[in-house]
Order: sequence, then structure tokens, then C-alpha cells
Amino acid sequence: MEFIKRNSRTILPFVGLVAVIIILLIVSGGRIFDPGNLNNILDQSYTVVLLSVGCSFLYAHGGFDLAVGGIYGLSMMIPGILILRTSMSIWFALPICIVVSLVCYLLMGIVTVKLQLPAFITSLCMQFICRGIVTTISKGNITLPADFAAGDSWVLKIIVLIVLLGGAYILLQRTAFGKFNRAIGENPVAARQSGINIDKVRLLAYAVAALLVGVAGFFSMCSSRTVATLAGSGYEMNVIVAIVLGGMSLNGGMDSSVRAAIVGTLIVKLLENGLVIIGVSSTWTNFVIGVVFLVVILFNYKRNKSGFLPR
Amino acid sequence: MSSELIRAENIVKNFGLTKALQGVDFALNAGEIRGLIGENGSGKSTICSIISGIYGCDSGSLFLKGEPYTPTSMVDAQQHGVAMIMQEMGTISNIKVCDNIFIGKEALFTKNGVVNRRAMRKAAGKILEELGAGDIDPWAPIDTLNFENRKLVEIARAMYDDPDILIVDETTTALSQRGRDIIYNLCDKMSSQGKGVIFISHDLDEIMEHCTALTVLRDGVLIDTLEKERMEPSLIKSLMVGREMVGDYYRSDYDGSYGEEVVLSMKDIYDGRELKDFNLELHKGEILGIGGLSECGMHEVGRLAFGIEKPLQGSVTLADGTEINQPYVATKHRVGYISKNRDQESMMITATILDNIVLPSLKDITRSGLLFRSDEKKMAEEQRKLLSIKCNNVDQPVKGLSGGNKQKVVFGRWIANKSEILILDCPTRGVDIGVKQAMYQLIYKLKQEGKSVILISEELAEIIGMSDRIIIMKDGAVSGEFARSEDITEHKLIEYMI
Ligand SMILES: Nc1ncnc2c1ncn2[C@@H]1O[C@H](COP(=O)(O)OP(=O)(O)OP(=O)(O)O)[C@@H](O)[C@H]1O
Ligand SMILES: [Mg+2]
Repeated sequence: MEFIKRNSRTILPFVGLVAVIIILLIVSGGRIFDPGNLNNILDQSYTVVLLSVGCSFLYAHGGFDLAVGGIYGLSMMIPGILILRTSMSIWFALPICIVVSLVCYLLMGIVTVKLQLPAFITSLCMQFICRGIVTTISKGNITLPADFAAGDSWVLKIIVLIVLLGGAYILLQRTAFGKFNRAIGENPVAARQSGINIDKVRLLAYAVAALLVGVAGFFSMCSSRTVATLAGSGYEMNVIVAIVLGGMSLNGGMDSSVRAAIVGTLIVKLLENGLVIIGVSSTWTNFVIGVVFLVVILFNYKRNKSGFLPR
Repeated sequence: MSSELIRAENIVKNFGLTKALQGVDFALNAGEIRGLIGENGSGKSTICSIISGIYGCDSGSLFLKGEPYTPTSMVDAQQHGVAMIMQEMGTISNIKVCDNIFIGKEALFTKNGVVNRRAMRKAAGKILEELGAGDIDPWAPIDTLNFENRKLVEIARAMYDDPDILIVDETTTALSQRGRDIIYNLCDKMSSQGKGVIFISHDLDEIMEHCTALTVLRDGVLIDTLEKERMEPSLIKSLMVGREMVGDYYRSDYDGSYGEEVVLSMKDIYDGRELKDFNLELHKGEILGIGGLSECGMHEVGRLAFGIEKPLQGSVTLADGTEINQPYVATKHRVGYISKNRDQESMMITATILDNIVLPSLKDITRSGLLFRSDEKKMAEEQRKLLSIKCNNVDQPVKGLSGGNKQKVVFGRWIANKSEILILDCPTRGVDIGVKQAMYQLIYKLKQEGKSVILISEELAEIIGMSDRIIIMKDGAVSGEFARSEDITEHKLIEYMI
């Protein structure tokens, strides 16, 4: 009992996930796990899991990322256009995705860190900039060559996923860098006085996020074979909700975890998809997710408040 | 004299597995200044927090002037005339001094829904003036104030309601003589008006001088209450720790020698505020004590030496010529620092004891790129044993530790980091005498191992007791320098401070 109480933050999201699955299964009469729909859920979750895990490195140190959807979109649009024009091998798209994402994230990171601006603001700007570039250079949605199907293999995608998530877990949870990153979220002043090069650690976190976002972009190109001008819009919100539902604090800190980002994403994506399947109109989907989000936030807020002890 | 202000009967309070109070009976009479003393974690803050409405108790009852009394919050307690000055920072960041003083009482200055800020500012100025701290600008943002002045603002806030009972929790050790005098005067005034004061401190001399009676707590049990006549250091100490204290408190030698090599030097420092043309050399194996009034710039010296702040002119360099301009440069060369503002600057308050201890040393215990919990645990446990940190286990968040035990955690992280140079700003603040002794012996041992220590402290006795060399500062410059000797007295040093 003591154990459960102490680890409620870890356990509750799992309970939530299982509850969501069971409820949706019952209400939909098993339909949400039809092969067709399952594929759908997995496809969407695949992308958002990678984005959430990437962004969790930023949230862990007290950052914020409203740009992830925009950067993801741009990191697909640029290689998409290049490949259409030059007809090079589709595999070149992967490094280009990563480089575009890296450039965006590092630019944003440098401005945030060096000028000490709130990440909330800089990432909002970055989102607009990316979306602006995407619409300008593409003049509409583009359709990619059929060769991209070569990258749309679940075997490949799963291997990549395992490597990336495993790597992210080790990096955030089991290395000095990861602990430094989380310590900054806990208390930046104390982190600096503990001898952490906080600027460097924060920039590295941006680079990690960039890598995951770039890879997510590439595999989305492979599975959908189109790039929409609006691709990724709204994903930043998906990520925020996922991180909170997964049990992480948006202020970051020691409790931040890759696990939270993964579990949270699954909950959000299942809810989104499941509600549509059981016939709730898509306008209400957002409403429901909003309410769930609010409840979890209130719950966390109350707990943090009672944990605050002046002494 | 015997009219009773507050009585606590059979108070029990547990925090999870920790038995903080195990049936405490406590009474405070009108006109009393009651000292409260006990080892770190003995329950002093807890009993006071219960009286002042911060926590409820598990069982037991409170009576205020004979009436049953169950405060539901600090504000509620204040309305009943019980005010507390907290051990840790109790001011609220990002707002002005006057807003801090009148927080929750804005209604006093509100007319037609608009707060009259001018009137509020004036009233704030008046209270500060009465307190003897008229130099604090009520309009200044609270964060521009130093630790001492923020404490004084907190006192002003507590005093505005004219409380019948004032609780001062372990505040004085972090204050300079001026701040302390303000508090002593306040206590005397309250006592002469037939009000009561509960005064928590680890400083026996202070308690014996200013308190009318003294209560000793040990492990959540009230051991005894001594009237003035029975207050005697050796008796108090043995009541506190439950045994006789043996061995040296500070160091016993008057040798005062240290190495030739200069390990850290500050040259012609000008920081744009307190310090002008400041020079300092720290030698290998030296304990360098720095004393002075709170505003003399000694705390800034520590911050500059560790690279937290950058001087406008001049430089801080190590023996090998490395310039320290960031804390990470300092720690890389095995320099450690303890800030005076512990909870805000030196620890991650919601993180575990383990994480707090290992944080500066993570690179040392990384093996093939990874951290292993067994290594972390080993490091944390070593410090827990070395400093006898009172906790259930090292995976407990530090926010549940008593003030003194938090200080031990901060101390332990630099011992674990094997610092060659330690910059300690009020390191024994809030630490009980038993642990203080252990810390002093540890500092002495570090010196003997050839490590160097800068000891910045408001407590002259500690500087005199420990230093090989003492620097006294005044207005941002060195006003006196003394080699270790038997003849140095606090009196003599104070002359150079003012
Ligand atoms: N919020 C809390 N959560 C868990 N344990 C707590 C909490 N507050 C206090 N304790 C525990 O209760 C005991 C008494 O703590 P308390 O703060 O009253 O000690 P203290 O006498 O004020 O010590 P110090 O001199 O170090 O300030 C300690 O063992 C402490 O760890
Ligand atoms: Mg205390």
C-alpha cells in the first residue's frame, strides 16, 4: 500500500491506460481493435510517440515546445519537394528530415538559451515560421513518389522505434546528461550551482528532440506518401496532453520520464480514435480530451500544493 | 506572571513513518521568552508549526488562553494572535516589499475596489522604521533584498497584527548582529508587554542570554523545561543529546600554518556593487575565515569565487591559471560551494536525498557512459552515515527533512565530490551542536588532507575557532587580517567590522 501511494505518479497513468482500453473495448464491442482501425491507431501513435518522447527532453528541463508540429511539417516538406524535383533515392529523405529538424530546433534552442527567453514564446514563433515556410514553398499538398512505400514496413519501423525509445530512455534516465537535464527542471539555480553547464545541457536536449522529430517525419512520409501543408498542426497540443496524462509535470524535474511520454501518447491517441469509432462526433472528441486534461491537471495541482511545506 | 497564553496537551504528530512528536505537553506563560532547543529533527519546527496553524496534529489538543484552539491555517492563527517567523525563507518572490508585508491584508487599503498603493507603501515604511529597519525601501522588489533584509520583511509582516505570541524559528544564526538585535529587542518588548515568545535556536549562549526559560526536546519528546537559574551549558547539552559531549568542539591547536601554494586568487575585483579593488589569496591547506556585517560584501566574495557572478573588473583564477567564470568551471576543478540561501540555491527541494547528494558527482560515477543505481546509492549512503543524516532512507524527498538535516545533505554533496577547495557560506546554519562539532572536525580533517576552505560566516566564534587566517571586511574592502592565535576575541574583530 505504502508502495502504491509513493509511486502513484507512475502507476496511475498505466491504470488510466488500461481503463481507457477496457472502456473503449466494451463500448465499441471490440471494434476499436479491428485490424483496419488498429493499423490506424498504430500509425498515428507511432508519430506522436516519437514527438512526445523527443519533447519530453525539453519539458524535463522546464522548457516548452509549441513548435513541434510546425517543425515536423517542415522537416517533411523540404525533403518531399527536393525528392520530387531531383528524383533522388527516397532514403536521402531521412538525413534531410533530420537536418531540417535539427536546424530548426538548434536555432530555437540557441535563441531560447542564450537570450534567456521563455521557451513558450520562442517555440510559438518557431511554429509560425515553420508553418509559413511550408505553405510558401509548397503551394499546396504534395504527393510523394510511390517508392516511399519501401520505408513503410512495420518490421523496420518497430526496430527503429525500439532503438530510439530505448536510447531515449537510457539517455534521460540513466546518464549524467539525462539527470542534469531533469535537475535543471527541478531548480535551475541549484543545478547551475551544482556545476552543471546548463546552457549546454539544454541545447543538447534540443538536439535530441530534433533527432526524434526528424525520424518521425521520415516515417510519416513513407506511410502516407503525401505531405499536407497542415501536416502536424495540433500535434504540439497532443504532446502536451500526452505528457501530462503520462504523469509528468509540465514544469519538468526529476520525475520526468520517457515512460510518461509513451503511456500518455497511447492514452490520448486511443481516446481520440476510440471516441470517433464509438460514434462520438469529432467535435466532441476535443471536448472530452479537454475535460480529461483538466481533471488530471487539477489533480496534480492539488497534490503539489499539499506537498509544498514552508519550513 | 503565571497567566497562561498557550497550552499544548499530549500532541502527537507523525509524518509517514517518522514520529515527529510523541505526546508533547507544552505551556507558555505571559511575559515569557521561551527558548526551544534540541537536535536536528527533534520536532521543534513541528510543534511550532502546529501552534501556528501550518499543520494539524494527529492527536492532542491546544488551548489559547484557556479556550480550546484549533487553528486551520497560518492566517487563522494570525487572527488569533499567533505569528511565526519561519526557519526558511517565508517571503514571496516577484512582488514588492510592501506587498509582502500586507499580503492577504490588501483590503485594509482598498477603497471602491482599488488598492491605494501609496498608503500601503507608507504604512509599510512605518512598520519597518519601527522595527529599526528603516533603510529597507518598501517599494523595492523583494528579490533585490539580501537574505537578512528579507527576514526582516517577514518579521514586519508578522508584527503588523500585533500578535500575542511570536514564534521565531531558527532565524538568528543567518543574521548579522544588527538583525539579531532587532529580534532581541522585539522579544524583550513583547515580554515586557505581557506577551509571549517562543525562540528556537541552536546557539546556547544566545538562548541563555535572552530567554527566561528553556525547553529541551529530543526525538519528539519534551525532556525538561529549565528556569533561568538552572540553565547551564553542560546540563543543556546533555539533556539535548542524551549523553555527555566529548572531544573538541572547534579545533584545539593554534598552529595556523598552511601551504605556500596559492590555490585560488581573486585580483582587483570590482563587482559594481559592494566590492572594490578586492584581493584575496587562498593557500593550500588553509582555512580562511571571512567575517563582517551582512552588507560588507563577504557573501559576494563567495559567489564570485565560485563563478556564480562575474566581476566587472578583475579575475578569479586557480593555481593552474584557469579563470573561474562559471560554476561548472569551478566544479570541474574540484571547487565546491554552499550557498547561504540553501533551499532556493543549493538543493532540489522536491527531489530525493540521493539525487541531491550525487548531482555534482555524476560524471565521476559514470561507467561506460551510464549511471548505475548501486553506485549512486553507495555514495549517498556514505554521506548519510558520515553526517548522520536523520531520515528513513535516502530515497526520501529532502523537503521532508528538518532544517539542519537539509544542511547536512548540502554539505555531504561536496564531501562526496572530493572538493579540493570548499567555499562555505554559513555552512553550519541551523545545525545542532552535535553535528556542528562533527562538521568542524570534518573541515579540520579536510585541511589536514591539504584541502583549502573559505569559511564565510556571521558567527565570529566559528571563524575564530576554525580559521588559520581571518579576514574582516567592511564596505566591500578588507579592514583587518589576523593570523590564528589565542588572543583573538570577538570583541577585537567587531571593532574592524563597524
Ligand atoms: N513534511 C514532512 N514530511 C516528512 N517528515 C517530516 C516533515 N516535517 C518534518 N518531518 C520530520 O519530522 C521530524 C521533526 O522535524 P522538525 O522539522 O520539527 O525538526 P527540528 O527540531 O525543527 O529540526 P532542525 O533543528 O533541523 O530544524 C524530522 O525527523 C523530520 O524529518
Ligand atoms: Mg526546524
